[in-house]
Amino acid sequence: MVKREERMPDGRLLIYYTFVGGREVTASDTVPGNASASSSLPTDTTDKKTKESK
Amino acid sequence: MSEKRWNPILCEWVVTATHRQDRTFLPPAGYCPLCPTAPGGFPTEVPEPSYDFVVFENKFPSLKLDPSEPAVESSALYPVQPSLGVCEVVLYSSEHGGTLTDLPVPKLHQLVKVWRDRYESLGARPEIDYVFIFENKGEAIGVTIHHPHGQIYAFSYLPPKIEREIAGEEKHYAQTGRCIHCDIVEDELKQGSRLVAESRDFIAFIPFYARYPYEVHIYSRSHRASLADFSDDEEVDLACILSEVLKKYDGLWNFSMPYMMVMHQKPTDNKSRPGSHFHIEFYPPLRTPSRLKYLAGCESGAGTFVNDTLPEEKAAELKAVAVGAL
Repeated sequence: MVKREERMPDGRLLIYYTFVGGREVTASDTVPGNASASSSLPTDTTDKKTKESK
Repeated sequence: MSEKRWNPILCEWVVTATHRQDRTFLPPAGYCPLCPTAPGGFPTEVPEPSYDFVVFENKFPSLKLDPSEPAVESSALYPVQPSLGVCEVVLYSSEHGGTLTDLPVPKLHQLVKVWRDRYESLGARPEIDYVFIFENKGEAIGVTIHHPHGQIYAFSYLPPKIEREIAGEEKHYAQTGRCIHCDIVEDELKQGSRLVAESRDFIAFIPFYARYPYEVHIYSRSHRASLADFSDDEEVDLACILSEVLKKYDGLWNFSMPYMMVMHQKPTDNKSRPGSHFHIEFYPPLRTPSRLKYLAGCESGAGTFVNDTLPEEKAAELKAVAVGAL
């Protein structure tokens, strides 16, 4: 499973989930149309840290 | 305008969301905002020409991560808070037609993974204490867009029904040291009369205490607190029994059954919840092919549901519906 996160023009989060050929796609796989992969939003690890200390 | 207003009598929040009055309502064919944007067509919510699954923040959310300040002042009698949270839409397919029932098991398995990812991602946020995944299907339920989709409300607090469920779980756990849901699964398997379907890892039944005539619950046989606890094999098996239940619904009267489908699982508030047990509940509003079960005076005013049917009889009806190969 590959997630590609983008922002809509109004700032809302938009996520594409891609699966290929009946097996999970790994992050190292090439995803057609994933030209904007380099601009994907990073995983927010800060939130997790805050959550754990809640 | 959106805010949480406290009901000091029932001790629960009510969310006001006046902007939702203007949300898309049954758009004509060719103007579905959830279909991929067509070349030269009007811009929809999804720019890509096709997709497996898409999740996006609702254009008309009841809850937001950056909510506006309440429009009214909070008081000792009437506390008011910003409506903090997240509302997401989950698109099952880029095809406008069809329903969840039409998805083949491998695709349902993928959807289970998407649900799991949303549970984990949203639940990891410090603001989010409960990730509520659900689907409203059919105009009888009030669906305003027919493109196959579900929704997720990520709450910053425990919603009242969940809070009540947890209170029951904790009471049973304190008395017996056991998960009440595990005991229910064991009893349903022993009784057998309310079972609708069984698979290796899951069972589907109409509970002893069903509020709706065709209210099916899907439970894992083993104790699993949330989607995050399932193995890959269990995810596949969940997709199988989900497909079977959905096909039984549509096969019962040979039309697409309207329903509310909700998932209950462990809160994400980082508290110990030994009684949490993942399950899916379906609330179909029909009691016959043409008659709705209304939430009328007794249900809405007193909170007591009157079920005009026996769960054992309705379970037998659904169990008898042949679904063929999944």
